[in-house]
Amino acid sequence: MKKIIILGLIVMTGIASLTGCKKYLDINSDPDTPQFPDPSSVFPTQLAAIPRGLQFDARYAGRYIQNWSTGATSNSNIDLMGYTASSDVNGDIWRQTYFGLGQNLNYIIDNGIKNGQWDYVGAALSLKALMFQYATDYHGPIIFTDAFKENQAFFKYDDQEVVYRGVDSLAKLAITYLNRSDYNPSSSRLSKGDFVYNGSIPKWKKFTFGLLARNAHRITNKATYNAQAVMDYCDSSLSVVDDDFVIPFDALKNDDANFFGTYRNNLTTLRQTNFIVRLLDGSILSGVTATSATAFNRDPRLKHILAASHDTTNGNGGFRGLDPGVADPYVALANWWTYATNSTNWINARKKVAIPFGDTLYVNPSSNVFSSQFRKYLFGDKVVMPIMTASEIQFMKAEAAYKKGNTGVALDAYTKGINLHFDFINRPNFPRGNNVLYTGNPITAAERTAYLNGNDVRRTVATITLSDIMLQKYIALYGWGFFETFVDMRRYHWTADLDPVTNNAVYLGFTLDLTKLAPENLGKPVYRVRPRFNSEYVWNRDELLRIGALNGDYHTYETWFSQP
Amino acid sequence: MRKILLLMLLFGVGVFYANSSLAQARVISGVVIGDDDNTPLRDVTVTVKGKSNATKTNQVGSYSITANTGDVLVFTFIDYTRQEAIVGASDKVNIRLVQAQKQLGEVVVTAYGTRKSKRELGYSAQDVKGEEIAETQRDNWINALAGRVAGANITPTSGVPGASTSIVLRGAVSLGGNNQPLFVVDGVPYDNQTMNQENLASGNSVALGNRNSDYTNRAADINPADIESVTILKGPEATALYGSDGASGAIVITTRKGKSGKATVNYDNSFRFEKVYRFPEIQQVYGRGTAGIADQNATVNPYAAGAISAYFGPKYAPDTKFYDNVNAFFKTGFTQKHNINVEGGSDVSTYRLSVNYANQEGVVPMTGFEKLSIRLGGTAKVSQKINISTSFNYVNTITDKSTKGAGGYLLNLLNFPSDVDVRDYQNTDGSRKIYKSNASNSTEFDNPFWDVNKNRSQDKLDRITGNFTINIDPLKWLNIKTITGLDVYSQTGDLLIHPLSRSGFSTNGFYSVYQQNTKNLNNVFQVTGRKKFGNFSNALTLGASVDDYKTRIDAQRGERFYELNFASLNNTDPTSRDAKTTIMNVRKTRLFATYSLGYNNMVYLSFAGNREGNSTFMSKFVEKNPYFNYGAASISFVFTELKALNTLEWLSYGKLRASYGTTGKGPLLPYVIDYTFQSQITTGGGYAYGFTGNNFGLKPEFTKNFEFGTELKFLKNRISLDLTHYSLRSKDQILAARSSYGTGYVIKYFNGGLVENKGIEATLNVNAVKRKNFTWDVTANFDRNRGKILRMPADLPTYYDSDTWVLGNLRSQAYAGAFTGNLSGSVYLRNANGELIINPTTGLPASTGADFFIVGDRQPDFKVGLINTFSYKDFTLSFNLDFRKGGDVFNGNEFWLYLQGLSKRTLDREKPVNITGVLNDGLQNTTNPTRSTITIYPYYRSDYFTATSVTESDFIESVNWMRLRDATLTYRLPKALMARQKWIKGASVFVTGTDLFMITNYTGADPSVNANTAFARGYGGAGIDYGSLATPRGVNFGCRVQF
Repeated sequence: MKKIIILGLIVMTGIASLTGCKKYLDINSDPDTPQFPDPSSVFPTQLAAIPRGLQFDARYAGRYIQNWSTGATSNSNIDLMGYTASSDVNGDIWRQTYFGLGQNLNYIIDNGIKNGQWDYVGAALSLKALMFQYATDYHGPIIFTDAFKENQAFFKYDDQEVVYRGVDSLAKLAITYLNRSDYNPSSSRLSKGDFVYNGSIPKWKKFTFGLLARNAHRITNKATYNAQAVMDYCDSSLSVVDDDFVIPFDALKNDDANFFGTYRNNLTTLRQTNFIVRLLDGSILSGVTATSATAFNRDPRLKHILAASHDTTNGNGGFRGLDPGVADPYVALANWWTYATNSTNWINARKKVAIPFGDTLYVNPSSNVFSSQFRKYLFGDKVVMPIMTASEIQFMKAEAAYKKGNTGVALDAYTKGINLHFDFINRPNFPRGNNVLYTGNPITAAERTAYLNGNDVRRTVATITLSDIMLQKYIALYGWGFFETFVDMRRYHWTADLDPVTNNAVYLGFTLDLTKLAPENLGKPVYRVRPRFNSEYVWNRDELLRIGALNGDYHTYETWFSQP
Repeated sequence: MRKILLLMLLFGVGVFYANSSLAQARVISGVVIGDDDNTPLRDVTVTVKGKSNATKTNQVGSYSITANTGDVLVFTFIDYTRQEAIVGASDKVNIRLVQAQKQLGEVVVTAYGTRKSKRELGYSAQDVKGEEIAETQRDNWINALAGRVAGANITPTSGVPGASTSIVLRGAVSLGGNNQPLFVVDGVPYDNQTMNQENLASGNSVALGNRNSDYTNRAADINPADIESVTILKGPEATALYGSDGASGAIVITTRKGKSGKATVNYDNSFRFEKVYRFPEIQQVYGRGTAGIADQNATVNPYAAGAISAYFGPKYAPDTKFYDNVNAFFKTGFTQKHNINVEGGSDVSTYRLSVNYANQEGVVPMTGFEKLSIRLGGTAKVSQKINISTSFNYVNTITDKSTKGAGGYLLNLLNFPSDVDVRDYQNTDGSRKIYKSNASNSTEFDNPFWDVNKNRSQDKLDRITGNFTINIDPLKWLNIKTITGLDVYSQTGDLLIHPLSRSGFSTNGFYSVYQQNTKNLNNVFQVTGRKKFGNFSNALTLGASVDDYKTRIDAQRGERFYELNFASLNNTDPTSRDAKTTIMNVRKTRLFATYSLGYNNMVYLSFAGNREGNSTFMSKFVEKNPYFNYGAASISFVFTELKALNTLEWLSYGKLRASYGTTGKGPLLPYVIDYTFQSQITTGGGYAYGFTGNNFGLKPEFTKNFEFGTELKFLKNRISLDLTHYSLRSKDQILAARSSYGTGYVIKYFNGGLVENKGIEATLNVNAVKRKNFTWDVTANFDRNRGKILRMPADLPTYYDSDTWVLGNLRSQAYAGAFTGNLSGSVYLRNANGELIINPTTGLPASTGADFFIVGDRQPDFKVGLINTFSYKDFTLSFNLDFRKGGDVFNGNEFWLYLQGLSKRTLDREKPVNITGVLNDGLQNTTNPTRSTITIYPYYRSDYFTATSVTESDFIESVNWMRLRDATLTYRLPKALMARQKWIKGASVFVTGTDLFMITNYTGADPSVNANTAFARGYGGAGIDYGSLATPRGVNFGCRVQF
């Protein structure tokens, strides 16, 4: 009897002490996934997260700026500078700014500071600046100071001016951290996890100066614009192709393959435009419509960047393009060889605009199958997605110098910019064994010299124009710098701002018919993109109402940066 | 495993020890049986008059006590008339206790096997007999509870073998959490998980959102033949007993125990034929085409989910040969089930072994279910003061499954052209036959035969549950009890999408496998003291419990098959393989105390308090308190004990009761307090936040419930009525909700909101006829629940369950002010006066598209379950009619058929239509809008049948039904016949029909299906009828024999 009671008491005490013991309950950590990873484990995902937002949205912004147009249907809304309502179309920069990177970067910054990993802190701050710059340039007012607040479901938008100052501060803070050398010796360094620069602090600093340059350069229309500051930032920034910030892909499975490659098949109906074709075949820059007789005006980069059709009788070697809102007239035709030779269908089928993956291809030849054969320029499974290039920096410098009246510096930077883009195409190797960008063989020195001495390029301070700088920059950014080009074109108000010398639109040759825009545009070109639908239109509506984003033509409201 | 062996050893020792104790000195033993229903009575106090010896009867009613010849044994038990017996020469004293008049003492099993007199309970608890459940012959016994329990909402997922069933008591309270009750078997929680598809390794083109495949809810593993009784605790009182797991109520199951006496063997079987007979109807007037022009290749692509055949062509030619594809596809299902059990024992020990085998071939080709369950249980009286009981149950199941929902066999069968033979699904070389000449493997949906034959999927389960209970009565007034429970299972399964199937073609096949291992350990220890002081009875229980739940799911997938028809990960391209591990470890500890005070068998007060520690609130980074408190208080007043009412002839029993209880609930999943990183497979790998963001500040979801009710019995207990009204409020809801990405996440855990549930429940029992040869009993269960969202967590504008978003713009969605069963969808655009706004160029109205509006509430107005039992001589007939009034159902199948021109609603397409409304010309909101005069000829206008001119709200139906859930006719072979031979003691034959008919205003097949599975958050996919097969009609026959 006594024994039973004693036994009972022992059991009871045992259980009671367990129940009282907090330690017994302390198992709320995922044994499967670390809940407190080292910044070096989070950093690679952040690099890989950058192209996702940019490339997803490039399918739309790339059409606003006429890198691409839809070949399958006429009057596609996006081709006509419209938007897709009640949809997450064009919402991936937004997604990545807050979700894909935002909170993760905060984690790296917070824990990097705790661990004395200043390189991670600096790089993460730099990427945060990058993403917020993209987001505000794309959307105008965005959530900035209110972002990431715990226990909050609604967020206030900040004016773009505030975000600009914020981006500037983030980038400068990044440099402060990148300059620190008092590392905690037991913490891992940036070389682990940074598959872009391998932890090179000088390169990260150059990249961050590039961000500062972008931030400072965007307000060219304002009285406060400081061209010298931009030029100074550019001088501290990327200077050779080896400095280029390019994100490589492993292309082993869907998630690590280039979004623009054949495997992921996202360029289904997108085709090159007449604008880029004419820039590269010399029609615009030489002022003479390309014919077989003026083949010397063709840019040697043409065959490395664009895709040619079978029919090569169009005067530029078979490079065809589309005009915005107008489908490929021959899209419905089957393969040319299925028709009788020299029949009308046979002739026309050979004139279809090629898909960006390669010459004489009209459909994706390798959907869901990895291919290193079917690729062209940046459109392949295992080719890099550039984020910033030395060439871009030179064009920025050229424009700033030109605005400042320093045409000598402008000409020099312009020439360097073109050369750096040739170097970019010719670059022999890329991180993680990514494929080269040239088709066949690199551009020869002879080709390059011929081009630089040809009719497309200005060689004197007297002849260089703003238009030349911007159009060469457009070429150098084709296929990757969509958002930068979108900023540039908005700064020149599409076709409205004229080159002071030529009195033509700065973007000479760019097609914009205000009477043929999407109906919701009410005759106005696009100036911003609506915030992501399944974030803001569903969950943060009150704030949208406040800033007017519920209006059908909100996307045509000019953003702050391009206003005087 | 070692623990299992140890338990088995203990069990063995117990039995031997018990047997050896037989040899002891003069001990009087016997069995106490209740006179009313011949069942052994437990906890009957046996004392020797004038001495201090006392004992209690065990589970099987047996007792033993030391006494001398001439001593008087006194048997006392609540609600029964005290009885005395003089000890004579025999060592056996068996007693039949007679119920005290007006004190019909129903006993319910509450916490951890504690039997309480129903009169003590201050809250409602309903009982269902195991026999009654087993008699329905349901594959998933939870379906048998429909109509039998007031306040239970039972939703089967579909009518295929192994389908899961969800049960929600009184209505969903948690908007984003689990609302299903806790299952408890013999005091031990019984895991009722339904596999969450999100734990699978996802594929490129295969959506895994708990909608394309079903997984059995694991409580279905219980063999109904092993169930003695089921007690349903509906309110949060269950938490006071079982902790936060019982926050949504508890289903308390007591299993059958062996009865002492000579060993008996029972065998029963059942052979079941089932046939699905309710289908969405399709028109067979107009053939394939668009705008009235015949085109065998015409397609529509509603919601860009994939092109399906369009039936907007001209009328079929009169000589068209139609195939009865639907009947060609489905077959008659057949199930055989065998149960055998052996039981027996002595006064000191009993045992029971039961074996159950079931084999089912489903109504859908290639589907099936096989189950083997072996259960061994025993009780032993180790000494005068110690009783032990233990049981083990091994269950093995194999489920062969088919797909459901979008792209599944059912929808594809409906869309399949009636003028093409569906049976002709493959070419001679084994490749898939495409019926549209312009389609390809990736553009044409699978022939349903192809789907069920080639896209194979199977689940296998091995499960062992066991419990070990020790009851010690060191003193007359003191009881000590420990229950140790173990629930271990391993579930594996696969899902294959054939390389030539539509969704497998682009990736050249998809194969997914998973292994789930669950190990739950539960331990409870409690000490109960009972003492009577004068007219006051006191009972105080102090206890503690420790629960440890572990589930690990390892999932892998691969794509790009080498061999077309080989199901293995090794058959996939190594670079396509992916793996995912999900581990969920949760621990709970609890200290609890209950105290009840009774006065004169008339008034009972009870109090319960709990302090629970829940590991899901722990953090490694912030200071968190994992402990929280909740409790309950109740009063029961048996007013018929009052002198003034004591003598009323017409009122035999009357009780008023009220209770107030609170509960706390943790998050549905562990690890949501600290950072929620997930492994990434992007270039360079590493970790990044998953979609769902953690919340360091989460606190328990807190619910309070107030209920009151009455129990009345009239005319010598011939009529009894139980009425309950409850109102419940739940605050600080834990919800993983979408919100602005400004949080840094797609989904974020929030705390907050306020949800209210109010309702009434009534149960009426009428013993209508009671003659010698004929009795007629009627039971009616009524319930009505209204759940309303008063405030949203974090004041979110809305919250929706993405799993339920299976078609178009319709989903289960919550708003402040909406009902918990809310459905949201698109509606027509209207002007300020509510008139349709018509597009001036098309003449068609416009839909709000992806802007969601409230379109329905799935909560029924009320439900009634009506159970009639007739017995005439050796025949017994019982049937369960289930009525439902109101409650919206989305007829997704019909909507889907409408969009492709197959719905019968599209038949009047040749009649010109002028849609009444105002033109969208800028004047629509003025006082003088332009009326539309545009005439539309739908036959020539396929756009008339598109999603812009018809909305989900047009396919919401308020559903009433009367369904015959089950009916059983039993014939017991006459005793006279049995007496002629010795070895069969009794035998009966039976016929049982399930779901024999349904009368309903619902235009679809079966409104009681689920778009998802029983793994559901919040209200789940109940009431969304899309791509799930109706429950088939089944007829069982079999026999029961007792040896």
